Amino acid sequence: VIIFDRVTKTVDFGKRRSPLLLDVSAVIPTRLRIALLARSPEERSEFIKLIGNLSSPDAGRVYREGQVSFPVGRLDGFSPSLSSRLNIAYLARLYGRKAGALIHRVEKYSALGKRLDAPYGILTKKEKNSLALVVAFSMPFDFFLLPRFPRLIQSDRLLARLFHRRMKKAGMIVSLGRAEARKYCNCVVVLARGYMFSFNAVDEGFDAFDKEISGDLLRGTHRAEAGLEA
Amino acid sequence: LVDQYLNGFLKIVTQPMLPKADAFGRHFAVLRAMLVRAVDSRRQAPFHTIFALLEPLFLMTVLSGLWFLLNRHQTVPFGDSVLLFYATGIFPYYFFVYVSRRMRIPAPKRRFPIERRLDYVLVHLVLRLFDYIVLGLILFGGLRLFVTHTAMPESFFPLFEGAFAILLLSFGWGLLLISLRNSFPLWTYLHPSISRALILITGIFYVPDFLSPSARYLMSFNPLVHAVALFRTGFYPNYPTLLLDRWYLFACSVAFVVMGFVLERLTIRTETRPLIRPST
Repeated sequence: VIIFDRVTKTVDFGKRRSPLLLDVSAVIPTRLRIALLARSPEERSEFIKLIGNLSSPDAGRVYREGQVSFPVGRLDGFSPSLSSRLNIAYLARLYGRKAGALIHRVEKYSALGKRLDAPYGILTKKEKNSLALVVAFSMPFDFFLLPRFPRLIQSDRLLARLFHRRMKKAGMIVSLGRAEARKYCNCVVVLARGYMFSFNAVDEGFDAFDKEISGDLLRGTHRAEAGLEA
Repeated sequence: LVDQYLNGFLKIVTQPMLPKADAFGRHFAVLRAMLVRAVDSRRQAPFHTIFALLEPLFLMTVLSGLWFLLNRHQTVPFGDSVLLFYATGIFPYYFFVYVSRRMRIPAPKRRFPIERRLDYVLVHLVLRLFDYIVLGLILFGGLRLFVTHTAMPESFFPLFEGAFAILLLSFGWGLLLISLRNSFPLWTYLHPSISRALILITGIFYVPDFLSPSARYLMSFNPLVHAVALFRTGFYPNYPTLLLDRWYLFACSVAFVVMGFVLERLTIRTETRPLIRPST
């Protein structure tokens, strides 16, 4: 469960700051596959950073019950000079897992083979992307954060199997398009001008988001009506 | 929309309550993992650490060589060996510099969410402490074996006391540095030069108590002078301690640590992390 307790957060757009969340209190249960929609990529990024504990709210607190993943698709904490194997062992220890078991799982699902012993820095971008997904989905997080939908899942059979197996037990927040959302998500969160709206039907959420783009979503809706008051 | 909101899965909460019993254990596991990785990195590229440790030895050797070449007819500043005198000053000074100055390179911005800035600082502290214990054993053991029997400390208590004070001072000073680097970016560039210049006013090449009263008074504000003097009293039982004020030294050390922690907590929200690129 992820709990927002009177959270306020603004996004920096260089010259101006825009409110992302204004005094929002909410509960996001785990095991939901949530499509995240917002006007700008910066807003989506900031929201994912906020949930992933990569950024702090300006006011209020975000509580996380269960383990929330690092942003899937990137392994920022990996040291380029160390081998991928040592880096994976590090990640396992960091999150309190058994290093041997995680390495074994990554060996099974990734096509890197002996390249796992090469320094992480010399891997190609494609290899790094693939490794990042395999490593993330090999870890039993309760909630996965995906800043972008990993299209590699559609082409890599092993990875797809790992992804689907993980998604049976865990929840995710992912930023993606309508067609993919229909396939992979079961609800939608729309971030609009400091409010956070949820929709249990994917199409309904996307329609509401289109309204927000045209400026209709918040028309006539007051703050108290939206249930955002403390 | 209101109905959708209320019937959806988001509910208003007032008092979130979560178990936090395993927080300490989890934090300890994170620190342990970071320490193991730091050791792995050192094993892969040991020269960086070796060169960093050789620097004080190199400086000490050069200064002693110069002393022999230029001033050999003069007396040693204190004690019977110029090498030991310089070693007892340069060792604590470099301990301070290497613990505090390396902290100005804070935790990488690209890191896993579970790793905190303070964790990197603590791991750095443990590694540097280990380095300097090894360096101290090699340096003073070597001096005892090959140069002078006085390199064996007369009393270990002031030695550890001095080293502990320096550890606190450097830790606190380092925390202040990483906390203020966003507010005063220029300080990041000035600090290395200032810390190098500190070597001249810390009483490493001379005994501060033998200076004029006015110079002594000014130097007494530098807590490192007290720390070096305290460290030296472990080797020289009759080292002049007119300037030494233990209370001032530990008050400064504790004040630095407290201020460092407070500022670290206050600036943690302003620490910027790179943008995660979501799909457009």
